[in-house]
Amino acid sequence: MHNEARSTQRKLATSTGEVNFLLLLALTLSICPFQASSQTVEVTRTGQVITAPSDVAAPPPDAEITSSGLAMKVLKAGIGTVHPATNDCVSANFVAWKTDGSLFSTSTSMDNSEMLCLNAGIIGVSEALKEMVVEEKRRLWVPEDLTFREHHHHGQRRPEDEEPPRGDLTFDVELLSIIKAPPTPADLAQPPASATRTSSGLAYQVLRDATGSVHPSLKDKVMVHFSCWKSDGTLFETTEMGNHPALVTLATAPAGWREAIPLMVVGEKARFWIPAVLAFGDRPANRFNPAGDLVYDIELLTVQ
Amino acid sequence: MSRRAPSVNSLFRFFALWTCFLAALNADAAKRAEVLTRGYNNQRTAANLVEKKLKPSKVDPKQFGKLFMLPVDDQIYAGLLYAADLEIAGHKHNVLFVATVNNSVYAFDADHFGPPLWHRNFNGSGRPTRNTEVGQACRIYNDFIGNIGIVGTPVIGPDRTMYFVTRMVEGDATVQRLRAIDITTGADRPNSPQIIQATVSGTGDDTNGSVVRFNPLTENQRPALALADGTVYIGWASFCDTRPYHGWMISYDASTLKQIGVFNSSPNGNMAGIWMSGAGPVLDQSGNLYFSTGNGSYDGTTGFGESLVKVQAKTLHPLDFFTPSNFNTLNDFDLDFGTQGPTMLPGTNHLLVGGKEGKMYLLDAGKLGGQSPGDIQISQVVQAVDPTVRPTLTHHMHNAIPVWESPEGLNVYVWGESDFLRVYRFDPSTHKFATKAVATGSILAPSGMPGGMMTISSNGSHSGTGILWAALPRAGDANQMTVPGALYAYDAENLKLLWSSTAAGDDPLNFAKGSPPIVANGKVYMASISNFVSVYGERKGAPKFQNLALRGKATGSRPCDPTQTADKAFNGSTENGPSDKWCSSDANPFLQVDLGRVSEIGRVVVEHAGAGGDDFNLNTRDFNIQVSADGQTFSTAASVKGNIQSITTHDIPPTEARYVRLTVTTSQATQAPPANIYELQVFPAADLNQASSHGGR
Repeated sequence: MHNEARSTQRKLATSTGEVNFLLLLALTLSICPFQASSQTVEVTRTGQVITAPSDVAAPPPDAEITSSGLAMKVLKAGIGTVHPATNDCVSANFVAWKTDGSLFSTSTSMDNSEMLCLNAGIIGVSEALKEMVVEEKRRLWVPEDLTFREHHHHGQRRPEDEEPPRGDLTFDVELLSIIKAPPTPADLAQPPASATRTSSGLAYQVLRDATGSVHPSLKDKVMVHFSCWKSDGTLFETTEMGNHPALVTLATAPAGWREAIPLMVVGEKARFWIPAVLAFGDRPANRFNPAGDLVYDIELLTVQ
Repeated sequence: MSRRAPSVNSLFRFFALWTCFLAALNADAAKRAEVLTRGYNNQRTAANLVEKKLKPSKVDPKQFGKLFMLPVDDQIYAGLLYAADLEIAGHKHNVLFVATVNNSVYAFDADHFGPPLWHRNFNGSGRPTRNTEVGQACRIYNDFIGNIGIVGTPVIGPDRTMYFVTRMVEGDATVQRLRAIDITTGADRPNSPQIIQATVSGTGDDTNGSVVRFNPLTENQRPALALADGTVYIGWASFCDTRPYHGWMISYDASTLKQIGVFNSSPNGNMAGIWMSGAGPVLDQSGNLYFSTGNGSYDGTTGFGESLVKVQAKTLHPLDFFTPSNFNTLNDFDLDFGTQGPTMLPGTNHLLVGGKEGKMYLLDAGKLGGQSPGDIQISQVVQAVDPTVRPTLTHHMHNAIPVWESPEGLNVYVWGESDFLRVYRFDPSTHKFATKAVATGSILAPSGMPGGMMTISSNGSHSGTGILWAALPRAGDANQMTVPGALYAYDAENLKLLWSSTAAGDDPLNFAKGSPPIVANGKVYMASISNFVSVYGERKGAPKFQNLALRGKATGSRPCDPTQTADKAFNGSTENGPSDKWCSSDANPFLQVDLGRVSEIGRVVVEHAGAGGDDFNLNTRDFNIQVSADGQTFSTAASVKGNIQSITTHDIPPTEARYVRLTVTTSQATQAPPANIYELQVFPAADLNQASSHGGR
């Protein structure tokens, strides 16, 4: 039955001329899930049929099972050897079903516009993507505890509030491209012995020299490329992945920046270890800012 | 010498010339900008295309800045409105209309500082709802701080009637009313007000088994009101997703205020609120409405959570919808689709709308397409907010997407959370957008919500006239607290930064997250949650100094370092960071200003640590504001405990005073020193006088 289902999908692909697996499932509203033989299909209002994988309910014996409980199986081999890393973002397509075969969710399939950053994605999907290469497609059996993070920006839900549907999910994921994050510094935890330390607790190391002699003052605005990591290696922010620098007003920047940038000259790139007290503190009032010590790579482009 | 009687020909010629002159005058008046509805028009383009005075070459720190501030009685969440050449009490004015969460509406002369032309408060024997009374899903609902009265942007009709919804607690009951007033006087129109009530058949939240009833306590009238063809449209959502609630859209006859149609987005389920960050629904040429919904029940039949919904004019019968194929994911991740209202692209039948994923959806208004795996039934989806800049944060889009037909093509502007301002261009040959931004701004928004609230001014599509105006937090997350704001002006053709409000004297105070700036006839109006509207324009002379404490003689407790002296709190500036504030580590420190003469004062504004870029945890927690006429005997005019805000506004009873003193009892949230004050401003009571204040239900 499993092979028959896949055969049906290939026929559809041929008849429509579409190359994307998702497009094969591009039918209209699903309203009526039912069991046909051992497969769950959904009949849309227009009478079209969406077929869930025959193994949607549980991974087959040949699926790889990781220590987290994630199960996965390669459906199509990819190209190259580069895998997404924790701080990377990717373009990917996916289809997700509940284990009863009802369709749960699909990605947007146009223009490779479904961008996922692994640090913010569905836990099990991010774990699988780290194993994949571009153009590879895998089926994932994601246990409930690896699906959705306990997160709600309004705060804690009340018991009577509707809970999101829980349960295991089965994904077909295709990795389309990888947007590589800047390399994570090896010495996040503490600056190397060769770093220069200031009396405030700031430490820095020049990564690329420049020949200028003019240093920015606190009254200046500076155009910079920068990347920031938390001490656990999580990339908090970067202008490098989008390749677009930022204009920063030094006077109102965090204290660590106010000390760091005037140490630089235009064209220079340096790494700064900024203690929490000079960054956003250990308990930032803005919950979107990172707590604790931070490491910044900063390239000073211009001074205004 | 005899005088010849004028010939018929010359009389005719004179009459023709006079007619032409009057026609020219009328044409000139017709070209004056008005803002009678949110986003300038029912397509919600957020573009004023008849702006002749403001152009990129005129907007720089030397020529442009704040002209004056208009004080009001409470915070401003509703959008500002503007009518040109309005006759009030025998004189013509350009008039700015401001609605506050204290259920007040003001009419100000938009060009000159002065008391309101009229002011009306609608509390009557009731009072506005308070944020502690709603939104328990957040424990305390801090999306608002204090009163929650008028929130949705009013709308003004062709007969100069303004429609809006007040929200009051009367006894134990919360009552919402639709009101219609004459904008020349503030007086009620016939049949106004009407209590908001509605029912639909359904088995969802708040049902009695078969009928769902409008719940005035949990329903938040957040989106802008709309008006077309004699019908007023009003939408509702929730406070912090606190159930029971639904998305409601209700239509009323603009003359009789009788209810015409009712639409409920989840009658057999729950939630699916219509809030759109305060934006208004789009109306097409047939009068049909388009609006978006947030988290909630979806079945594509009666449940339309996470959807763009099209309903019929007047009756509100559902006609069509679009629901993203990942709606389950959006629900589960609290990634509401409906954080933006749609925008109709000029010259097309396309709608553009974004949501919390930072994607913008291009839809055919004639065929929205329902829900389909992969979203392939719609025109395009573009990841418009770049998630790679801050990969672990949110990338929401709020309010609505402004659009401008630039000399180079149709531009749309996106400033999502934690990202740069970006402009995308529509290709009329493919009817799609280039997926890569054609220009990107240089300012990275602070971490958190809500991104930029934007408007455009231009003289048509002429090169060298387009300006993108954006209000943005200058620090902090505006979702669950108030944060300092900033106004930026960009060249709309290339996103070159022209001007920002960071210079001394240009501070707009707290960011009004529900109220984007508006532009009309050479001036920019920016609301704040500090109970002021700031008016910006071409500076032809010294700006009006309303702050009595500006450059007053300052004294205070011993400074933290020699640069952080008391005078820094009265220099009109927060722009220079820590060297631009008063700081003292003394026990119970004080800061004092001598106004130079005894004045009747009525308002004090304090800019704490966060206003200058410091961590908000350093904001002054407990403090007293004291006043004195002689510098010897002080009385306490305001006492504050537990403050967490960066900018606080304190209205005090009109008091004759020459000296104003701030005494700090607890410097910071951590109860540790030092105290940090960037600015302390004092305003005369006369500025706060209300022209007229006839209240009533």
